[in-house]
Amino acid sequence: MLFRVDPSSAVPLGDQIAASVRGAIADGSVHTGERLPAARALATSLGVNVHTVLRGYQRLKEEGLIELRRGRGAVVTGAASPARARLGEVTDQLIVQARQLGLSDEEIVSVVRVGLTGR
Amino acid sequence: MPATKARTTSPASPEPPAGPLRNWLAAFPFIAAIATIAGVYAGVSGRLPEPLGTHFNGTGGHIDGYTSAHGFLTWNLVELLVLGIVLGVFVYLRRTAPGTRWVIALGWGLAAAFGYLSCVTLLINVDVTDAADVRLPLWRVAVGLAGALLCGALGWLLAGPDRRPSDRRPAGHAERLALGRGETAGWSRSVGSPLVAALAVVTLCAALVIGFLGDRLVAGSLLVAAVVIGAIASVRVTVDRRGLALASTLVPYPFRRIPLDRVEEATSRRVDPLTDFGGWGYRTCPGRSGLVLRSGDGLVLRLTNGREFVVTVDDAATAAALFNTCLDRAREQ
Repeated sequence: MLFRVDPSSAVPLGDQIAASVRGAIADGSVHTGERLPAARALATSLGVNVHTVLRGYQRLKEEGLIELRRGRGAVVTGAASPARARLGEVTDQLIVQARQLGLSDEEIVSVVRVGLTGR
Repeated sequence: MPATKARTTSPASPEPPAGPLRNWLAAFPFIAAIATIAGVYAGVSGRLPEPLGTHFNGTGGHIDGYTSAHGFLTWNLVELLVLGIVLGVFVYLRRTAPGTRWVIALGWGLAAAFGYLSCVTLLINVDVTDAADVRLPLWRVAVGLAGALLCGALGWLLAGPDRRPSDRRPAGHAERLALGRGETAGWSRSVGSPLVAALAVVTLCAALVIGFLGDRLVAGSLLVAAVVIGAIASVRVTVDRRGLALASTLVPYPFRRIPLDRVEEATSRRVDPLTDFGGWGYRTCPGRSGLVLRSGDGLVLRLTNGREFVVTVDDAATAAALFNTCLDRAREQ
C-alpha cells in the first residue's frame, strides 16, 4: 500500500500515515489479514521517526482497523471493511471542520453526543 | 488517485517460431530409439542366448553381468519411455523458456546413447551359445558416445533458438505518481506463496526424518535448503526514495536492494513464472532475473545494464508509478 507524508502539512505525520492505511482499506486495495510494514522499516522508508509511525498505528488500532501484536506486527483486522475505514475518514473531516470553527475537543464530542441523543 | 491505477499494457508478444512442434521434437528421439530397439530385437530374438550378456567391465570389455532377454528389453524400453515422458512434459511446460533448447539437445543425446548401447548389446549377443564369451570392445562405446554427441548437436540445431527476453519488453510509457513538492511517499506490500511455503515444510520434514535415520550431512544441507526456501515464502517488497528492497517477512533486513541509480525505468505487467522464468522462486535467466512467486501482476525494473528485474506483487502499477516519480526526483537533484 502507498504511504504518503507531507511534513509541511498542518496534519500530524502520524495521522497522515493512519490516513494512508485508511485510504487503502477504503478503496479496497488492502484486505483483512494483510500485514502492515514493520514500524521501524516504514519509518526509515519515509524518513520519519519510529514513534511517529507507532502513533499512526496506535490510532488505527483504536479505530479497530488493525491489530497490534508483539512479534506479528500490525495486521488488518476482520472488522476493517472499506465502509469502516471511510467512517474514519469522515470523522477526520468532522474534526478538521470543527477545529476550523474554533471548537474545543470537548465541544466536538458534545456535538456528536447531541447528534446521538436525537436518534 | 485513479491515475496511478492505470496499467501500462504491453502488446501481445509474438509467438516464438517453434510452438507445439518443439514438443514433438523433444519426444521424437525417444520414439525413434524405442522403435529401433524393438525392431532389432524382433529381428534377432531367435538367435539370442539365455541369459544375455549385458554388463561389461571397463578394462577389457569382458562380460560381468547377465540379464534375461525379455528383462533386458523391458527394462530398456521402460527406461526410454520414462525419460521421454519426463523430458517431453518438461519441454511442454516451458516450451519457449530460456534453456529449453539445451534440454531438447540433452534428450536427443541421451536417447541416442541408450538406443545405441541397447542395440549393440543385442547384436553382440547374436549367435553366441554361452554369454560368457560375449565382448564389448571399447571402440564401440567410443562410437556410441560420439554418435550421442552428434545427435545432441542435431537436436540443438533443430530446436532453434529460444525466445529472447527482449521480445517481451513492454512498450508504452511509464506511469507517474502525483506527489506534492514536500511530500514523501513509500510503497510496501508483502507477497507470499503457499506453494513455496509448503515446499519449505516438506523439505524441513525430510531433513528431520533423514537426520533421525542417521545421515547428518544430508539432513544438514536439507535444513539449510528449507531455511532458504522458507525465507522467500513470504517477502516484503518496498519501493521508496532509496529504490527497491526485498526482505523476508521473517528477517528485518533486505536480502536484495536495487538502488535508484541502477534503474532506467519501472513498469508493471503480467508475469507468468513458467514461460517467463521457467519456474518459481528467485530466478535468473539470460536478460532478466527476479523473484517470481506467483503468476499475475508484476513490477518490472529496466536496469541501466540492459537487464530486467521482476517481482510479482499485487498493485504493481502503483509501485511502478512511485518508482518513476522517485527516479525523476533523483535525476532533478
